[in-house]
Amino acid sequence: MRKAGEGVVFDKRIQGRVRMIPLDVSEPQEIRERLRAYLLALGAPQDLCEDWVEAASAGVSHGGEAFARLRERMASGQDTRTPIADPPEGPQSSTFEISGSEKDSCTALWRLSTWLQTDAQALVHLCLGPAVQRQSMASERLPS
Amino acid sequence: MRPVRPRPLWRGGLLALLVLIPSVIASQFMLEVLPHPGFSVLNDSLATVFGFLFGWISVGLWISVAGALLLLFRRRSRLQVSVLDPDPNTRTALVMPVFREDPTRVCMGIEAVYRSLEATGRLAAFDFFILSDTNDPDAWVEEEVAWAALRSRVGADARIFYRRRRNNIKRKSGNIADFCRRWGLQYRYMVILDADSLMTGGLLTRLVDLMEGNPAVGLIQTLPSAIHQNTLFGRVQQFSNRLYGPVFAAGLHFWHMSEGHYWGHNAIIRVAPFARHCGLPRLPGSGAFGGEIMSHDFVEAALLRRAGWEVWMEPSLEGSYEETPPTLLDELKRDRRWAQGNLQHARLVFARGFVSPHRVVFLNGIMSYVSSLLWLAFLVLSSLEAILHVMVPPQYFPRTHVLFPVWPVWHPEWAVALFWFTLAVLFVPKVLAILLALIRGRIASFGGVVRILLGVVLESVLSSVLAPVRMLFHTVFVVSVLVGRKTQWGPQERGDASTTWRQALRYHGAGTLLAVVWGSLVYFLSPDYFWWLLPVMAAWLVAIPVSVWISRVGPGMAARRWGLFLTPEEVKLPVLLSLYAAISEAPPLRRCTALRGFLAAIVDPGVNALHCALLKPSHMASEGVALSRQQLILTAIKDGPGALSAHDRLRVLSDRETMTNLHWRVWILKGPRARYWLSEKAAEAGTPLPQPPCAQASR
Repeated sequence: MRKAGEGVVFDKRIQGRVRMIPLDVSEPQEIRERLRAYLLALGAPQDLCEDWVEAASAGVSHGGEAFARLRERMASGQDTRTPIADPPEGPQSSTFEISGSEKDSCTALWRLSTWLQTDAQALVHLCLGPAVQRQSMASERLPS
Repeated sequence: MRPVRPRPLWRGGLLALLVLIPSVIASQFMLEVLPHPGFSVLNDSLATVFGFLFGWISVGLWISVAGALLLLFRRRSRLQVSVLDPDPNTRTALVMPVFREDPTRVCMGIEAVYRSLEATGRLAAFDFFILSDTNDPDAWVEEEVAWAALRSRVGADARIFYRRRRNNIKRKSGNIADFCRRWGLQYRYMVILDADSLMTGGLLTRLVDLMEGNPAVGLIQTLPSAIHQNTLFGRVQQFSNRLYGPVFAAGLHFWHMSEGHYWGHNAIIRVAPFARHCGLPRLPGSGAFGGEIMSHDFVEAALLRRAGWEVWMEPSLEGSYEETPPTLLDELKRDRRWAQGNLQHARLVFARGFVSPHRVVFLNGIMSYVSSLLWLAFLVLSSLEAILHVMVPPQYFPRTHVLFPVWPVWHPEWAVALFWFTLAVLFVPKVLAILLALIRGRIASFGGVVRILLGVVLESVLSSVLAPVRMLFHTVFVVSVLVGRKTQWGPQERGDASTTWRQALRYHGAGTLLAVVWGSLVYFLSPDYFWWLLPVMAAWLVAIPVSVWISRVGPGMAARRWGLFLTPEEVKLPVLLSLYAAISEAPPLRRCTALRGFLAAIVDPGVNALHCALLKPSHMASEGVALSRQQLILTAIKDGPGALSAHDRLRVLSDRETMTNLHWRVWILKGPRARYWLSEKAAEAGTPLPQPPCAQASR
């Protein structure tokens, strides 16, 4: 199956005439404010906020880069040895495996445990339902 | 081998005789009362309709009489309780299907039941499932947040699960069927709870023990007591539910025995036979009578019994609670759905294999609404009779070759006697309930003798006013079902709602107009008959102010202060309800932003993480799907959340990758586009916003 975007070729002659507008924040001050706002919106501790904002914003050219660094921080802030639950088949199988990478799942787990102020280890099973063992109902097998 | 206890046949025969014989006599008596011998078709129609109506109200009478006798002389339940230690392998699921309910209330109820079960020491044998069918993006997210808050309160080990169906096929019955298909094999029993249901831990463990001790039983229905009503309408309904309900339920228990009722909630079900026999078919054909079975509970009980499992209604079990609609209009909205569901059962009355009591249950449900049509038909026919009596000269010689004229003879005293007799049939159940409360020493739990009597009188007056109003609505419902109009599936109103004057005018205006026209016509043409019609016409005439007034909390609370319409739960608060009250006062989950619903799921880092964690991992999508998701993200970035329809929002919320991508994108957006999500612009759309993100401590 071909992924979206594959095989799309831009015509460089046209590209030159297109007015490009940056979508992301790029001012250092604005980036720092946005990072701080993000961490406050998450309910992260104040002292940690300032350290992380400085670390994530130092020397970056745009917001995307800063937030990527913040995600790295979150992932390393989370104990990467936390087992990622992966039940056979559940309603919410493979919890915290956001975007498929372990780093992303750690980021999500950090966000969740910070917000809920709960032990991350305990949260691993938060979203897991009992394993599914399928059976069918009568009317699905036989016409009534 | 399961020894099934069949219902003795004499009970059905006796009830049939008790209903049919007086109905025929009353019908014949009505024929004698009518003055005009010339209108034979009209008279016969009137007598027939009256016979049906009389039969219908006498069913209620005999159910109550049997219930009163049962409660008076034999209180012990036929179901035996297991004296053995509970089997550690017996697992029970408490399932609560929800559809756009207030998630905070749902979770408060679950927490109260959870704590109550915890106190019994048998919590480990129970799992809780919130089965969401919610199709509103904001409500979906709020359900998840409320569930996370519940889990954070009761502890991470709590076995309380949340599952949302993407497609709510077959509505509530499909929701439960989905549970049975996925997890049914792991549970021996399931207890069905409505969003407003509460059941004590003691009752839940007792239900499990009853099921264990009675292997032939497939379902036990408890009698839920109405609670938490503050509007005057709600309080009156609550009072009548608590005073008359147990007598009526005991009567149902007596007549139906092991072939009893299931009301869709506050009941325990043996999962394996339910899954094996209660898959609901889709009825062939279109229109209101075809398609999905809307009132599934009666049908499921009938299917269980058909498969050889006992179905018991057990009114003696205490500790089961529910809320009732707070206003008349809310009750009528619910009735619209029930009317369609019950009339649909007409197609099942003669289905193969059902036991007779369940066919009667179907007929009873149908008559609950068709009786209104019959009542209106009776009023129309009797008005016509009265008008014709005035306008058409009587035929003194209706048949040829007779020697003597036939005089139209009107016996007002007979009519009055029939009227009082009918009233007696209607009111004897109330009298029985009061007597029983007196004999069994329950009077104090309704506020004492004077207050209970005053309450019954006022309740009777209000019922008499509301009965014609309900009749008119039910008639419209029946007719609209018959002409094939389907109803929509909407959320139920719970808590304290009130009816506005505009709403009352919209819904009751036509009835008021009808009362004026009909009443005036009869008054001018047949003033004597007008006074017979007055109770109905007056009720329609005052429907607007009455509907508004009784929907308000003020009069309801005033009645409570005066000790009127008190119920046992208000006189002495049960432990479960005090637990529920304490939980409702506990601080909610700390929310770091003021955002709610869809916006919170995109912007709020915690809510976004929670929502993504609850979604299945994104699978490789086709090119078309992947591009349309990209398009959604681009639209959201370019034009903000306002550019996304409810359907778009559901699509965004349904894909983990889209959610994650959009979350990070909006936080790095520059300038005006950021304000769609992070500033006052969103606040203007009715959603308070996090700029600057509030770092408030827990509220």
